[in-house]
Amino acid sequence: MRLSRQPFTIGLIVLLGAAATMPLWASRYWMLLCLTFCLYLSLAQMWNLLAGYCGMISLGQQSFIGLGGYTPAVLSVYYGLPLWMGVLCGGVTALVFALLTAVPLFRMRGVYFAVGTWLTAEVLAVAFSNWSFVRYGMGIVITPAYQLSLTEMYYAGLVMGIGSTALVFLILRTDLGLTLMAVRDDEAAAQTVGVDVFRSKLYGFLIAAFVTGLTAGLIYLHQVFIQPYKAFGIDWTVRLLFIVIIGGIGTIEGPIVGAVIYIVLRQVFSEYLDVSLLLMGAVAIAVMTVAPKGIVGSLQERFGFEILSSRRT
Amino acid sequence: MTPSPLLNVRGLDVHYGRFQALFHVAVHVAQGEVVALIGGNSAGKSTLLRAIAALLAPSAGTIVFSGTDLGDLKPHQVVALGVSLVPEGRHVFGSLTVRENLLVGAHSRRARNAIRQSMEEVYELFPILRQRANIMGNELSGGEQQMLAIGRSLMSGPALMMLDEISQGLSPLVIKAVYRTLSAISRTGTAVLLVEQDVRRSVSVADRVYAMVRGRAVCLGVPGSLTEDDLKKACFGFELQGARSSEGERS
Amino acid sequence: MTDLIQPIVNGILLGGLYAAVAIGLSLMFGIVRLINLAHGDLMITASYLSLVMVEQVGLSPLTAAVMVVPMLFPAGFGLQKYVLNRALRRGPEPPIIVALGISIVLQNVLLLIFSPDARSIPANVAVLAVPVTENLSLPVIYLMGFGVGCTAIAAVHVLVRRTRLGRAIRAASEDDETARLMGIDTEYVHCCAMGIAVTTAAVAGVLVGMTFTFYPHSGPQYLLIAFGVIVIGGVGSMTGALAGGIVLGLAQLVGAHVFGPGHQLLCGYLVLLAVLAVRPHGILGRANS
Repeated sequence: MRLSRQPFTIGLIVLLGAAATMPLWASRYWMLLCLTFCLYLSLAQMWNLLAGYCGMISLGQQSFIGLGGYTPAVLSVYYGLPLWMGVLCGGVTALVFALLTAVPLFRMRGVYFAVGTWLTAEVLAVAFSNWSFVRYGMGIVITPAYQLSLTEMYYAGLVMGIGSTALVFLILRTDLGLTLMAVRDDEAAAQTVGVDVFRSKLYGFLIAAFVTGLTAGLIYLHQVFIQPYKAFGIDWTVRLLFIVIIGGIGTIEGPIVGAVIYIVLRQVFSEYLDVSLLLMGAVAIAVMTVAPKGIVGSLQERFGFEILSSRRT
Repeated sequence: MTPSPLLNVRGLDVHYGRFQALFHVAVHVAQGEVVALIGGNSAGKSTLLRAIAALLAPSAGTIVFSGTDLGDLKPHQVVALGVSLVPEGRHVFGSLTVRENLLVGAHSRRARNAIRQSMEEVYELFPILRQRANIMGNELSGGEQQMLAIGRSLMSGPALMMLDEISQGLSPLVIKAVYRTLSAISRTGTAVLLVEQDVRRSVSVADRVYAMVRGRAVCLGVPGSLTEDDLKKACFGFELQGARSSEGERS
Repeated sequence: MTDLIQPIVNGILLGGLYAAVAIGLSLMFGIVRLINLAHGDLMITASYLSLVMVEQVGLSPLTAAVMVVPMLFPAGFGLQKYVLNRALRRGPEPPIIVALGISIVLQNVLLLIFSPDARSIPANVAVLAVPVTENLSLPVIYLMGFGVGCTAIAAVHVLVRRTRLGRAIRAASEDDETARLMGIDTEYVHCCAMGIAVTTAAVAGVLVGMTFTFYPHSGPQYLLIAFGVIVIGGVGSMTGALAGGIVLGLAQLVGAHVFGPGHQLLCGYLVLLAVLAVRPHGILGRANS
């Protein structure tokens, strides 16, 4: 059973139109909510690209998040660089860091890779909290970011959210997407048919690092304050993992559904942060033991439709 | 045919995903009997043994062993009932000593004296294992590993022993020695279900022979009545004429 | 140079404690190829439980340990039986995520109950030291950690090498299917092994709680240390665990002595990263795992 594409296309256009004009008609509250949704969606798409499509369970996305946040903070506060320029530099810093760590990290597999990436982020956290240049653990207040209006932030976030989703969609329709999925399913087999495993994984890793770094730049311009143990904290990856797992790992729609659920939960439990994390951990356990494919994956299995198919038609 | 066989498999279907490996297989083994299961590659012989050992869940049919339905049991429970499988490729525990391998084989039993006695019996059957008791499994030769795999299976005190391709990769001399012990084992009253590529060898020790062709089992009868031609056909997967279908046999 | 002797000795002694932190993780990784990401949190849970026993019930730290440690065996057993075994049946990725989920849940439960403040188990031995020379004294708590760590390693070693359960554990870890064919209920064996692993973590947790301050979020830090011990010492190797613990203990304390106390964790992590980069499966580890 395959749904007709037409109502879907109309729906998508209406939705995008609504999102694009949101500053004209929506309240501040809803704009903030939509902004947060877009930023988390972008981060989640990138974690999903790694874990769901490249088979690399990274527990170290916070490396890129911290670097992507600290770079614009340092550049704008210390050197007066324009904020958006700083954000771009943050993406590049994350990319360079990914490039430097890829060789040792890619030699690790499975759980070694997971812990290796996590360890890398912990090293950054400890290093930054011992580094006078970034004011140790006290953190940096990104004062120039006060000038940014919510509308500016909103559009930047919207671009990241839609852009990252579109990016994953496009990657999966290229040869890179195909090879990545082949490597995920059977690395040895992919290698024997001539896939350059290292290069494919590297491209996936670099793309994820760059986009995650950019998104993190926006997040910290929005938050205005950055601290090492928060920026390089495993909590980031836990949230992304929750979003992707509950939505459906290895699907493009999964992170969207997951991010909506995350935002709703966040609002409901906004006064009890500990409870919300606890709940996320519990839900991740439950989903993984009962329906490891998540909401979208389970629906696809049951009804056999895909809205954003990664297959080339 | 004995009135109530030790092992009675009826109407067994096994699927790997969508692929059906066994079709309505019916096989039975009586107490103390040696039954050979012959057939070409991927005819379903190993699948049948693995299903009996509860490593695979059948999609239809029943497996009854001395009055107990093995349907919902787990492999370790099947072993405790007295069914033991010597797996294809021997699978000796390489990081355990020979003695430890044998003790692992007796895991389902608690009585220390009985275990010690079984170990004596295995050592008598395979004196080389006694000499090598404290050597690691992976340091043994192929033949010694096969002896260990059989001995290890015997340690559970089975009433039915299933052996999968025990002559694979062994020299003729070793094969001969291994088969000699098979006869010794069956003389003690243990039933044997033997899967072999080496048809002539397995038929020579068997009381009865089944052929498996593309997931279906056909009883060929007693070895004496079988011609060379029958066996060849069974092995190369031709349709068998004149042999009774195992499905028709019991219905 | 002479002032380096004290951190070197302390580092070696600390290594014994780190080995105790790691052996449970190593045991489980050897059997099911799973790094239990909640290992550190289970350990810290034991620290908090002993704290409650000492502060609320008024027991001595030793009595508290004797009470708490056996309590964690059924916890580990149940965790494996009802959660991890189910995830393990679903392939290699779900257990990683499930274990992380357990870690998050434990951390936040501890946070809800105990607040984020630093705590430590009050013990008189924590301040005692045996003077050896004028430059060197042995802190009693470090000696205890080393002694208990070595004892725990020896106990696990004997259990794995000399008992029926240990034999089953080794058989199941080498070849799960054949172990089942030999009549071993391998899932039950995994549960027992997890029970043992968490028990050793509890022993380590009580010691850590007496030696250092701890927070609800301390678990991951010890998980990474334990992971480092395994990487350096080799999977499933008990003597390797001691060697790995000593390497990390030395790296941390000598590093802290040279570069300042803030760099203690950093030096340990850097040594570990260097080892991982050179030998991604550990120095003594098996290449095929």
